[in-house]
Amino acid sequence: MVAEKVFTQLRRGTLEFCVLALLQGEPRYGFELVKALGEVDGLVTTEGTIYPLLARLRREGLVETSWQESESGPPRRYYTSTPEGSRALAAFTADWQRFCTSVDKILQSGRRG
Amino acid sequence: MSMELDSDRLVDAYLNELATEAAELPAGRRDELLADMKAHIAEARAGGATSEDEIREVLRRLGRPSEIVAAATDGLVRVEVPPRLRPRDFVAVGLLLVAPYLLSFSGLVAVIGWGIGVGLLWTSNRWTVVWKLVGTLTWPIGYAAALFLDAFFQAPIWLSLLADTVITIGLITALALNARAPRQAS
Repeated sequence: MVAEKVFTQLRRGTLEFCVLALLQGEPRYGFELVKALGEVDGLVTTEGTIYPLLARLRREGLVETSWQESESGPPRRYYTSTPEGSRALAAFTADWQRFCTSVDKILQSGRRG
Repeated sequence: MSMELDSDRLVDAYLNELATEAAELPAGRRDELLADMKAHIAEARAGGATSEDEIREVLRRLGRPSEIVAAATDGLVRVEVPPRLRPRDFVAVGLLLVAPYLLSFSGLVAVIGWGIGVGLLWTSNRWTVVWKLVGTLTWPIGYAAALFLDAFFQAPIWLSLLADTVITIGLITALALNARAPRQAS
């Protein structure tokens, strides 16, 4: 299946921006982020791979982390978007919309023709 | 009770497999990944996933350890660190250490062996000039110490030989330990 490969690549490339989008406005802890991403259809196939992704975003300075105690379980590592993360997200969002519009246009013209 | 134990066993097996797979990662990343995964599972359990089936589902959703480690390896630049001592450097150190003892067997072999050792030492980029001098002077220094003990203290021959051996082994060990891999352009 050719499309499957394409979507694997697309997921890999876009997931970090989905993470950044979820972190705009509010900090979230790892488990909460993973659940939020998992609820969306077709976005995450292996939840565990989100943790290496989060670690990379932190190394790149796009998110910041802080520890907070939890009443019900272990201490939680909260993630917040940095200003740099928000800028990267804004830039991606603009490009992504243009990209989607272009692809949609071609796909639809193909259907009509 | 036994249900708890079965779940524990599942989680332990999963985390062990993850730790094994993650062995290739740099220590900091490995520890962080393992801590994150542990916290995730603990969070799921605190949130009500307690039965064996529920735990199985949590672990299935996390994915296979190999996939998770592959994601952590993604984009990781592997820097090949050159070995401190290459085979030729081991030969150099070995010859400098052993050649003097060949003297009683054959003077020519001893001198040629030592000469090759010194040649390899000075053409290697693993040592500074100071350490190359140390390596070169080890034999003369050891020999001089033995002669000194013999001439001034009338030390028995075994004591002179022992002093020579201690000095030689000490200096050559220091030489081997002070080899430095050349710094690479990054």
